[in-house]
Amino acid sequence: MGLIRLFRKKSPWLLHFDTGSCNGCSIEVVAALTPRYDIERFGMLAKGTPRHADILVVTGPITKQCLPRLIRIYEQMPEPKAVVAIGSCPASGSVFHDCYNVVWPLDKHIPVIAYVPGCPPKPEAIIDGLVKALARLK
Amino acid sequence: MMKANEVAEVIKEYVDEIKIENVRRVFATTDEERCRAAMLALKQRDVQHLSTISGVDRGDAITVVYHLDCRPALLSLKLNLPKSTPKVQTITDIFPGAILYERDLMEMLGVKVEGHPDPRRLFLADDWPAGVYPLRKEAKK
Repeated sequence: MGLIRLFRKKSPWLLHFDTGSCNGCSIEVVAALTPRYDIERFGMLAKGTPRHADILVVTGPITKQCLPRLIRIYEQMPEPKAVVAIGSCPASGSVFHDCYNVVWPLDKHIPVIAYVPGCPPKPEAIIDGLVKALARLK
Repeated sequence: MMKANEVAEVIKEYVDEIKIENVRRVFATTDEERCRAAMLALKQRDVQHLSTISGVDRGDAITVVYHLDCRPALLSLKLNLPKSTPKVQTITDIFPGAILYERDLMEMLGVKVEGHPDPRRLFLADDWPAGVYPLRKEAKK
């Protein structure tokens, strides 16, 4: 098991899930994936399915409509897994604070390893959060 | 192609008060009976674009505002409704683009739109309780 975990840490694949965000954070997440920031030096790649992913990257204030889908996607991910919340929205609601249709904070629903604050956070900050999540993925 | 004073001329018999802000901006207040007639009169004069319909909860009443682009003038046609039984006639037969705005009005403010061809919900979550209208003053998170 030790060997598998060791090599798994070299390829922490990402799944980006947008829970009703304004797309600002989503764009910064995509920017972090570009060669300019070169997130692949940590072996991180964006994946299209939760079954191949190790880190769930969540943006947005979690709408009521989205929550069951988010939990379902989280449950579909194989262990070991980590959740990183990007932006102010999953932590505090940000501009959607008092909206009738949002159910932030994210850690009320699924366990979160790192919050990356910012509206939106810089790609450098996102990478920092992801690397911190990586250390906890052991 | 109508300026503010021409718009006021077309709708003057269907509205109670007209306020001309400038050559491109008109506000008017109408009532349930004459609302559709005002729209039809504007349609006769080649107004084709309903920009949006907005709704305001004013505490004791609900105001529905039809924003019509008369090029270059912009008309905001207000309609005051009682809070207890807010209902309007559909205008989808005059301006087909109103279909989504009226669905929005129904679910967010609980305004009953009579004769709407597709009165389903538009934005709210699937498990949202019936009879709770999030944009009303009394709605709580």
